Formats: sequence, structure tokens, C-alpha cells
Amino acid sequence: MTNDLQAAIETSEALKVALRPPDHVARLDRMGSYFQTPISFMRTLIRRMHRENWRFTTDRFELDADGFGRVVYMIHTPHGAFSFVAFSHDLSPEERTDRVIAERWDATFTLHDGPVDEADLDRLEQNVPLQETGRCSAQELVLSRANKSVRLFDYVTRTLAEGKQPDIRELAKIGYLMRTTAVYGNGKFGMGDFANLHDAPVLNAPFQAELLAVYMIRHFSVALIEHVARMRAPEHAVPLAAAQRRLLGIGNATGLGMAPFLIKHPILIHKWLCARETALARVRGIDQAEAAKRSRFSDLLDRATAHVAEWNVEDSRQQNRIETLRTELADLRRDLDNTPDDVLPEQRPWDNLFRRIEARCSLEAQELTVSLLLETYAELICDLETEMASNEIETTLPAMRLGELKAIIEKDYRWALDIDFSSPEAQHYFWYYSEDKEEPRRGPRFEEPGAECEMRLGFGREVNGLYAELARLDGDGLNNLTAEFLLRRPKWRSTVRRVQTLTRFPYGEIRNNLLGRDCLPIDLLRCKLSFFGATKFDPKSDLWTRITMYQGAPHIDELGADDVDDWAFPVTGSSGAAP
Amino acid sequence: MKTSYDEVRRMAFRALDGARSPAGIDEDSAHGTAWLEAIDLPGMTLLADAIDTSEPDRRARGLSSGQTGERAWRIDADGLSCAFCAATVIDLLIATAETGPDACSTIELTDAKQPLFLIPMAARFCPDGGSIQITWRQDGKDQAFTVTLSGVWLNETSTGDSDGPDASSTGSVTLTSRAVSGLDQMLGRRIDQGLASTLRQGLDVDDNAYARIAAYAAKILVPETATSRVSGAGAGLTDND
Repeated sequence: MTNDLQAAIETSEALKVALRPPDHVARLDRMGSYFQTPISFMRTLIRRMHRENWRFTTDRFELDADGFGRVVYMIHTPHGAFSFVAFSHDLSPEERTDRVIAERWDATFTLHDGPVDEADLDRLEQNVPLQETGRCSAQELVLSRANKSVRLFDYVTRTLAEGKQPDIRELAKIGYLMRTTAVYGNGKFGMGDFANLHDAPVLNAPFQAELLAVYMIRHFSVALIEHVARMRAPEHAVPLAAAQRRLLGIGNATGLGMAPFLIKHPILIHKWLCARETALARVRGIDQAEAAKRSRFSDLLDRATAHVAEWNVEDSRQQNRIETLRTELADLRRDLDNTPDDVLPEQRPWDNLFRRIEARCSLEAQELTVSLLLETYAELICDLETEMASNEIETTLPAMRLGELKAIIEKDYRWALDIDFSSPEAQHYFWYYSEDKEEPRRGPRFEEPGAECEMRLGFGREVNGLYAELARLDGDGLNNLTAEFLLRRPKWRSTVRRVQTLTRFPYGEIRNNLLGRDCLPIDLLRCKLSFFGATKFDPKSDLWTRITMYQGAPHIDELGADDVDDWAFPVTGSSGAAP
Repeated sequence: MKTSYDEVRRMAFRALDGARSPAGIDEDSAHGTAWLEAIDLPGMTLLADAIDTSEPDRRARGLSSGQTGERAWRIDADGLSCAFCAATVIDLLIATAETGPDACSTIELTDAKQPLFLIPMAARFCPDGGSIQITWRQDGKDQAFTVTLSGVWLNETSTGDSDGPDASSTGSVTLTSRAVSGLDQMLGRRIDQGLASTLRQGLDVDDNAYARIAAYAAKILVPETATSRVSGAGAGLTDND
């Protein structure tokens, strides 16, 4: 661990308030309670578009009366232009599936570096609709597809064609006209390697290329439905009103594919969590809050309360958590009104508030409070968005003596050493890639075939095994170099490297056994999606969730507004709760 | 076919994983494979050959080493491809150098196949201010590489009439680590000059080699079952809602 980070975690010198320690933060139940913050990646992208005055033009809009054809948008940035290319297809209901194993979609997309010419467009038209079975070039950065929410699409088309606006309550039930089923980037299927983007200031923050594509899919979905309505009734059709348009985001079904990412990129995950914790510590360390900030917090609390009031899911575990959260938010509102000096005293008001919530409330409420505090002081923390990318690689420290390696494990991996991996419960699951489109899945080890092909996600088990081997060494053995050990015992190379690397990146190791019977992958998904900026988490099982992206975000013609970043906790008004 | 660097790396990683290569070695050699391809050397063919010609148990076994001097080692690869041991050999070279005052160390690696995999590992792990020189002899010709953080050079004076490094050499390899300042001069021609532009434009890889690696990579895929099918995203809902 770097000295600066160690100091920040263990003392309050640098930040006045210490960072919450990794053992407290990097746990699945807490990570599975995260919400969007101002340093979520969609927020970062929208602010950049605003700050740099990005321009968007429609180069081609070649759709027939039913909305099938192709569209090319150009995205002009100070650092160069991108083309977003959309192909809209006629899809029969029996072909429409959100599974990654689908073979046809309502629409397919790519984000291309630079303008596209006729030859590019022909090549893309032959390959992009094929998705995984097509080939891209190094100029393509993102490949994606989406299906319509048929019910909502039909309803909105009909109402717009009749010259009316759709009922906000109907829009709010779903929240999007299209949902993506995959957004691929970074070199897949022949696309450009993102390592090259580190020189490109436009997209050098995490997932900016993918999220730019999703933002354009949202724009396309609105343009498409307005076009179809206009073609259906040229005399009467109207465009979507601003309020209706704003609350339409893009849906997504996210499964286990995201979960391994968090385990396989520990340095990056450290950066994300560390930035979030640093942001929280900055706000908690504020000595006194002016009235405007107290008022801002109060407004955000009301907005979050209304947002949560509209958040209903079928999953009973999550619905119970939401209902507890509603009660806790109501309690906080009551206390803030009745005893404001107790909740937000003169000195260190936000730290006091946070400690109060930590002592009394659920993890959902605690992490929602993190988001509220960060929203209240967005201007104080947004610089941290530049700390969230990493191109560092994990490196072995071959000259480290084995005794030191053993001591690091004892200090940093107590959680793993305490697990009895001889118990079937501790190794209940294995993770693997299915033959079916290589979809990542998880299966019960002792019931399903394929455990010999498992992905390496059980680092708790690996560290436990490595430690057992080190514990058998005598004094001379522990004085050996790591390199000597790994030459003889190469099976531990990955584990040793991870342990050595993460001494500098302590938030990077999630302190849970991903193989255990009690592991809930949905927590991993929510953590990652919250960093993207997703909202309305709607778990459909322990293994996958639907979400909404960019709901409430400004559209391309609204990016010049001063309040462009103020779209946290979107509220539709459909529940009757005041935004 | 045209691919990205990461596509080759990912495919090679899965192939190595499917071939039961030790965890960590697979990650490093996958990068090594892509790196070789990116500088127009046959990384995928070499990797496929390495997997074809080795026993699974042998790939996972460690190497025996003996110290021949204060900072000198001899390692017997026992016919193993460097695809399965390059990273650990380079580690030992660097670690030994780090423990001495002048950053020098030497390893004699005997009976090693496909020593070309040592070059990307040296490029990946070469310490700041250090250099790694790797030499081997094949068919009467010397191959001598110098690796620093700034680049990789092949000594052309010793390659005779060869167009480039011999990819499938078997024999004794000498590795030397020393400070860059200790190098007399950077002999030979730079072989990784085009790396950056290749990464931007994509890699041209041999279709046959890619297919061979893809076949090994497919071994990590688990066949579909009725139970597993319901665990993916989107399962269990109507999609025409």
C-alpha cells in the first residue's frame, strides 16, 4: 500500500476524516448497495460533452416508413470526430430475445473512429448486424445491439401519431424504448484496442466509448419513434415533449459477464472504490456547511425519496430492502425537520450525519447517503474522475522473500484464511464460459459437469492454498526469493502476483468467497453498474438484473444547459411523489 | 486475418488455460504471443506448436535450478517450451540482479524450446534502467537480443544471412541482466519499431495459426445443459414486452 493511501486510511491527517478501510468497503453486501454518484462514468461523459461543447449532426437518416434502414450520426469533439452507425431491422416476435445467445435484433450499432465513407458503410452493413459472427476493423470502437420494448414502442408511436403525448405513468412503468443486450468494446471481433485510446483524451476514462454508444442509442431510439409516428400520420404526428423524452433512458439486461470483470481487474476496481471513498472523506471532513448546502442536501433527500418511492421490483429480497430504505429515508426527513441541530450540527455536520446513518440504518441507506453527500458537493469531488482509469499491470515482485509474502497474506487476507475450503459449502459453485456464445455462467460444482474448466475467480481459495504451502516452509525456505519458489511451483504465479500487487491497491480485492454457496453475483453487478451510472436496479434473479441507463439525463440538444449534471435520482412523478 | 492485439491475447490465454498451463504463466505467455504477432513474428504458430508437442503434466511442472555462482544460475528446461516457463525464468534473472550491487545476473537455460517467448517477457518485465540480453545458437547462427524499456534490438551481425530470429530453436540460451549504463552499445536493428502503429491498425495473423489456437481455446468452454441455460441474463422472461 502506498504511504499516502495508508495514511489516508489509518489517520485523518490528509483528509480530516479517514477513508473507510478496505475490509469495511470491499464486501459484496455493501458493494451491492451502491447508487450512482457524480463520478459515475455516464455523469463524467455528460459533463465532458457539456464542457467541451460537443456537436452532434445527422449525416444519414435512411429509414423507410416502418423505421427500417440505416442512420449515421457524427459526434464532433475538440479532439476528433466519431461516427455512430445504426442499422434498424425488421424482427419477428419469435426472434426477439434479450439473451446474449440471440442471433438477430431490432437494431445493431457501432461507434467508429472518424467519419465513415460509402465503402465503410457497406462493410459495416454486412458485419454489424451479425454482431459476434461479423468482423470489425481497428476503426470500430464499440459494437452493440438493442431490442425494442415492444409494448411501450407501440403505445408511444400510436399516441405521437395521434398528435398526443404519451402518459408519463405509462413511460415510467418501463423507462426506455429500447434495451441493449450487449455492448462490446476493447478489441473484440477485430475492433480497436482501447490501449490506443489512452492517447485520446476524449475516451481515456473508463467505459467512455461504450457509454457514448449507449447515449447515442438512446438518441436514436427517440429519433426512430418520432420518425415512425411521422410516417404513420404526417399531418398529425408530434415529437416527444421534453419532459417525456427526458425520462426515457435505455434499458439493459446484465448477467454474469460483468461479474468476472471486477475480479479480473483488481487495480481498476481499487481505483474506482478508492475515488469514491476519497470523495466521501472529503465531504465528511467539511468543518461547517453554509445554508445553501444544507438546503441542497434537503432538496436532494426529497428527490431521492421520490425516486425510491417509484422504485418497485418483483424480486422479494430487493423489494424488502427498498421498503426498509423508504422507512429510513422518512425517518431521516422527520429528524432533519424536528431536530436539525442533532442531525446536522454546526461542526462537521456531514460526518455527524454519516455516522448517524451508519449506526442506525441499512446498507442501502448508508450507500444512498454516500451518493447524497457526493451530489451535494459535486464540485468538490469531480476532479476524482481523472483518478479512475488505469493501465497499470499486475507485476510479480520476484526478489521478495517468501517470509514477507507470508506476512502480507496474514495481514491482508485474514478473511480468506478463515474460510474452511475443505467444506463443500465453500466451493459450492464454479464459474465458467458456456459453449453457447461463450456466455459466462455459474453452476453447482457437485451437480453439473465442467468444473475442470472453471474460471479463476476463487482467489480466496487460491490464497488459502498458497498460504498452506508457505506455512510448511522452515526458516531457510522462507528466506528464498519469490522467483525461486515460482520457478519450482509455477501454479502459484497468478496468486503470488495478485497478493504482491494488491498491497498497493487494497480496495481491489473483494473480501468474499465467490465460490461459496452464499455468494450473490447480483451484488457484483450492481456495484459495477452503479459506477457506470445506472439506476432502477431490477434483479430478475441472483444472477442477472435489468437496469436503466441515462434516465433523466439531458439529450444532445440540452447539453448546453447550466444544470447539465443535475440528473441524479430521476423522478417521473408517476407515483404521486413530488420530485 | 485482421485482429486486434487483445483478441489474440484473449484467444492465446484461453488456449493456454485449456492446455492446463499454470495460472499466471498463461496470462504472461498470452501477452507474449500477441506481442510477437504485433511485431510480425509467428507467436500463434509457435504457441500452437508448443501445445501440440508437450504433455499436459509437463507444462504445469516446475523447473529445477542450481546456482553456479553468486548471481548465476543454470536451469534445465528438460525440453519444455519457453511458452510455459519464460516468465519464471525472467523473474529469476531480475530478482537475482536486484539482490546485487551492480544489477548483474546470468542464467544458462538448457534444453529449452521456442526461446523466442523469452523476448516479450523480457520486454514486459525489464526493470527501469536495466537491460536483458538473450542469446542462443541454432544451426550455426547466433541470435542475440538486447531488451530495455526503450525497445528491443536483434544483433544483425550475428544472424548471418537469416532474415530474422529463428523461431523454433531448441538448445541452450544465455540470459544476462545488467544496467543499461553497462551496455557497450545497442547493436543490431530495432525489431519492435512498428509496434505502436500495428496496435492502431490491427494485427495480420495467419488464418491457420489462429484456427489452431481457437481450437485449443474452445477446450475451456463448458457444454450447454438445460440447467445452465436458465442462468444467463435475460432468462425466464418474455422478450416481447
